[in-house]
Amino acid sequence: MAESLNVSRKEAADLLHETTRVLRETLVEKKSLSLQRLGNFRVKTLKSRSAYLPALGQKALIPPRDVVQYHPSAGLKNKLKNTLLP
Amino acid sequence: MTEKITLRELIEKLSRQAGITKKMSADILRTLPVIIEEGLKKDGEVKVKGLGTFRLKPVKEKTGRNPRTGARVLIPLHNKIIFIPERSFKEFINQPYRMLGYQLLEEKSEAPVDEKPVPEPPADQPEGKAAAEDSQEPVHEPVYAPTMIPPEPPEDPPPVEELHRGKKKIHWIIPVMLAIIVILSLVYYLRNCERVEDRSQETEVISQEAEVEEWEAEDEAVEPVSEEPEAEPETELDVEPEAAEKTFKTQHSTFNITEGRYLFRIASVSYGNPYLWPLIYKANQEIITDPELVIIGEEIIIPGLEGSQDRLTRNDSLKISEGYRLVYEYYLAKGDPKAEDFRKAMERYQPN
Repeated sequence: MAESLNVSRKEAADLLHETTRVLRETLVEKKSLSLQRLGNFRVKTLKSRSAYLPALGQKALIPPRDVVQYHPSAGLKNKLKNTLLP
Repeated sequence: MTEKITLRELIEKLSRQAGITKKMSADILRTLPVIIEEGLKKDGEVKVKGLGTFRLKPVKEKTGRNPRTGARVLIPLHNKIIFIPERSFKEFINQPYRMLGYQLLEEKSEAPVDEKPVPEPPADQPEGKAAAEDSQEPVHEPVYAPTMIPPEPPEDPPPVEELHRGKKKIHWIIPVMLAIIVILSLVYYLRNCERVEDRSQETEVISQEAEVEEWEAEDEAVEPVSEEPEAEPETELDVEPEAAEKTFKTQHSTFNITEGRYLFRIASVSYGNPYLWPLIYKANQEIITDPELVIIGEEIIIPGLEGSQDRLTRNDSLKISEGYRLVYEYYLAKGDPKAEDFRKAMERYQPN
């Protein structure tokens, strides 16, 4: 990253940190975001549900939670389809 | 439902937060995907601190159907890209819910439900409404609604109607619970069975896969040979891998190629990591010339690993790197653009 942006390694590390922070903050606001060549990210909320928990050996109510979903862009998908495979 | 942030907004936000020019932040957002792509090509995995891991995951070949025509098509072996958010990211995203934990179903759960029983007792008329509301609730949370009714009786004599309904619900819930338990145990049992079969009886799986393979023209030419080795591998596989495979092959062993066994899949079974297949390719250079084509009935050597697939020793890496070099040379000679990927993989496995 430092090379392609023409900055020092430390600067690159800082910038990466800031970038990930921005991405995280965007997602936490439940906005979807798409980066060209990489794909889309979005946050989906899973409703609370009851399920059997093996650890407790009992059914329990699982609280709602958010999950991050990632959908790779079509271009990237195709490019990496056959990488490292015979 | 979800609002989409535009790239421009993203760039602005980044430049504001990091105190850099817009051009710079645009550059960052443009290079990041490129770096991730490069990394995925080379290593099959990229970790971005603060976000998570991008990884290539092989998907076995399978037959699919064209949803429009219903025609069967063979979906070849391919990679898919998965993203696993790192722990801190997950926690960050879930901040709004961090106070919530698991609740056992015997207890009353969730504030809105708790509040409702309170206004019920005082007047008689509202009860009808409350009951009506209650009856709607089970639609949303059918499982715990009945269990939260029983705690009420000691405080106030609840309306008969409601009690009756509660009882009904309980009657209804018992068989359902039983059914769920039975299904769960069945699933568990079946999965265990599968695991055992996977380990010892490869041939079972192969015979199922045989159908799939028929779609491949390449294989059809070789198929007739498959009749003979079918019997052999069963005994062979039973004796050898049973013990060895638990530790994912630390010693040399042999493998009798049966139908539908690509090097890729053999590596996956033997080492637990499909991307180590060039190791097998290297050890069987005399027999296998084309890594995409292995001959059914052939016995190949599966070289052992000194370490494990997660912890390769120096020697292991060296061997894998050598394997990738051979693959690289093979594809280079063929003029296949895949060669470049294998060269990168070769460099990656080179110790130091």
